[in-house]
Amino acid sequence: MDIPLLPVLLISHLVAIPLGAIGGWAIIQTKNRDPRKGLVFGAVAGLLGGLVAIFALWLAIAYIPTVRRPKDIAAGIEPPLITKRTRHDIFMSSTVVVPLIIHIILLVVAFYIKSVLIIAVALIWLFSWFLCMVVGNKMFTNRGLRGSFGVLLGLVAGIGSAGGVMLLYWLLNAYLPGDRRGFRWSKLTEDAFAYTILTIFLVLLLFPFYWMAITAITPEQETTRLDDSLLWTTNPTFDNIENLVDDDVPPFRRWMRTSLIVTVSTTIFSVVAGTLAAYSLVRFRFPAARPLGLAMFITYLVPPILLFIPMMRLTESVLGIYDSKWALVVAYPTMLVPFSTWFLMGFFRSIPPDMEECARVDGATYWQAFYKVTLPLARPGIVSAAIFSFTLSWGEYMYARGLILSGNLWTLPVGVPNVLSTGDVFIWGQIMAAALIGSLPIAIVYGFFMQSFVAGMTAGAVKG
Amino acid sequence: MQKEMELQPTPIYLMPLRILGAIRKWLDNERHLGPIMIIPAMLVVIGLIAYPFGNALWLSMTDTQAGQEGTGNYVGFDNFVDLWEMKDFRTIIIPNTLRYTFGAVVLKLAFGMGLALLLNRPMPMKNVFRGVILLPWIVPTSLSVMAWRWMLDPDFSIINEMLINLEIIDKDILFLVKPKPALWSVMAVNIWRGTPFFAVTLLAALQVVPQEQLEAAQIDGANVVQRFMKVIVPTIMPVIVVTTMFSLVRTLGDVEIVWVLTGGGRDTHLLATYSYQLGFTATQLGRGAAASLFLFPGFLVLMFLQLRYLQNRDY
Repeated sequence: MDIPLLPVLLISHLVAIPLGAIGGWAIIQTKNRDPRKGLVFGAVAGLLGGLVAIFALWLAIAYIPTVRRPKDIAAGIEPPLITKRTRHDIFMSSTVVVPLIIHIILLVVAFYIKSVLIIAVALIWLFSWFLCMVVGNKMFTNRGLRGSFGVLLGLVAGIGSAGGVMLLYWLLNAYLPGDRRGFRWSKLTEDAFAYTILTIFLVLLLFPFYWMAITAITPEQETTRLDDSLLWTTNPTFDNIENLVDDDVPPFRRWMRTSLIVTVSTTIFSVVAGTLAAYSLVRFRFPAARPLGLAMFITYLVPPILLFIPMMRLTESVLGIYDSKWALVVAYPTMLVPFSTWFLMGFFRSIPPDMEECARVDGATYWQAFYKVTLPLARPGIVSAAIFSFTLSWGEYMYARGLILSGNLWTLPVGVPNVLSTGDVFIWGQIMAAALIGSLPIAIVYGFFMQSFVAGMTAGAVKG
Repeated sequence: MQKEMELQPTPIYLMPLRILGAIRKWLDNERHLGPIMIIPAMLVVIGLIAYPFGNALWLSMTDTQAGQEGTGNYVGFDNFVDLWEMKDFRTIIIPNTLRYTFGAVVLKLAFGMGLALLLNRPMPMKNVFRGVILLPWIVPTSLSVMAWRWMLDPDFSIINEMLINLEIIDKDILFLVKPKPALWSVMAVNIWRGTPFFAVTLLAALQVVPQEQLEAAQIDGANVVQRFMKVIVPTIMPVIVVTTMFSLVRTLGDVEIVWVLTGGGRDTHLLATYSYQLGFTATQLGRGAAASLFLFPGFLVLMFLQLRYLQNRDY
């Protein structure tokens, strides 16, 4: 079924603008606010929705050959093969550009009526545009859907974004504390700005993980063919993960085991040593306590690269444990112990000593006061230090690469980048699957302890 | 009479208890228990940090090569002089190190500050956002850098593909092939990884900015920028300084990102990675130790500044 473009555009606008206006009016009416503002707001939102509709339709035309321009339908011309060039031509053609210009004029008018709104509108507009461009890309051709779905998409996008903007505004307003009386344009501008930037930040920070996950479930032969599906895969598979774990070539499970043994043992040792040292340095007065605390802080700042070469020598000639996981067990505490000590010193300092003193008065020894009174209070800090030590040693690369030469003895973060390639060809599906599995333990640990971790880090950070 | 009572010999079967009791009593004194409690940590600091560091100082003045007989002779400052006289060292490695460190830290601070301010706003699901942004920082670096390497692949880069589809560029950017884009890529990954750390620490600091002062400033007509510069920044300055110093130290000594992304190729070597390569790939331990010690003055200055800063504050 072929539908001409222009009527659809008109209809979508006829629906979207009144809907937005009514919605805006209704919402603001129920809150006992100026309904006229609701009308203006809703109409602008509808306009915005219309813009989105134009872009959605443009995408549909560009990517779905069965939606044709009216003059093509009249002339009975079959849709041409879509190339980048023709996509550009279609975009520039009058059916898209003219409505776009009308919209921009209307927006400028809106700008003069209520000048602050333009910023918010422009930002949301920009964002929707990007979203449509990226997300709509090739979705339909890929799924083999017909053009009429593209038109439907335009309608839905128009109405949806008009309503969505209203809903967003309402939600923002509902969540904001303080002065809720009256409609504040400046607040809306600010919110639109803040949330747009925040979204951009989140997308930039999280996209690599998204892409990691998508590549991990993409069939191997498809990873190097980006033209089929740009931002996702149409043939999800768990082959990559299964191959990795089942075959054990490269020794993925062994890396995992080595990582776990090294990480857990060094974490436990470092946190215990760090707790004892931190408590002693914070609470006890003895000669050299202060210089020792200073020494801890300085060693915390010493970057591992300064110690790497002597550590190679130490493990090789002195200890004779070079090229085994024990070399890492020796090397990691050099990072973890100073960190735990410094971190927990901040934490112990925040616990008032009164209760220990009471316990002492009641006849407890110093050790008992520490073990029975302070330690339970310090649990959140100790958990945070442990989580952070776990993270540090789980992800450590430099020592693990340099102190172990045999590939099957490596830890996971070293094995994945170094072995899963044949010559210069990387097996990206498997690498990303392995990276995903290697990241999971950390993500799970954080999922459980995030609150306490953030609290612990906050205490440490604010204390300096 | 009293004295005789004490002098009576303890029965032999009670001796262990006596000794234990004596130890407990001896330990119940902060002058004794304190030093004993820091023994494990001090063993690590002395044996695994101080001793290797001294060893590095010595190695840097010898011609030690791994697995070579007859090396390890004292050569004075030859290693340092040789390194300095290398053309690449002065024209590539040192400038790269400076650009990488300062460029990345400044941008991390800027982005982290922005993100912290955004996350400090009242919003639904606050904690979820705060947890999620930490991901780049907690996931093993080498693994997430592999994801970046895949995203910046010369042939199948998803970033290129998206930019081409958005018609922003018309031919692939060869991120990891040409020297300049390669250095930018490495810096970008470092910024991506470090921004969450700045954001979370600064966010924690923002919690203690007195709300009344902000409101008072607003009533007095201060705009957003003025409120930020005059109220927020002075209050959280200590945290900004400490975090920046810490990040400078870590970025200066960072090996992983460059190593996994480019392996030091395409003129992306930094002092740290160069030293790593000398020590580990080329097995020139003496020279490698010397290269890493070129970083030492920088660390010393940063350490000194940070110590002074911490001591001037009462916490």
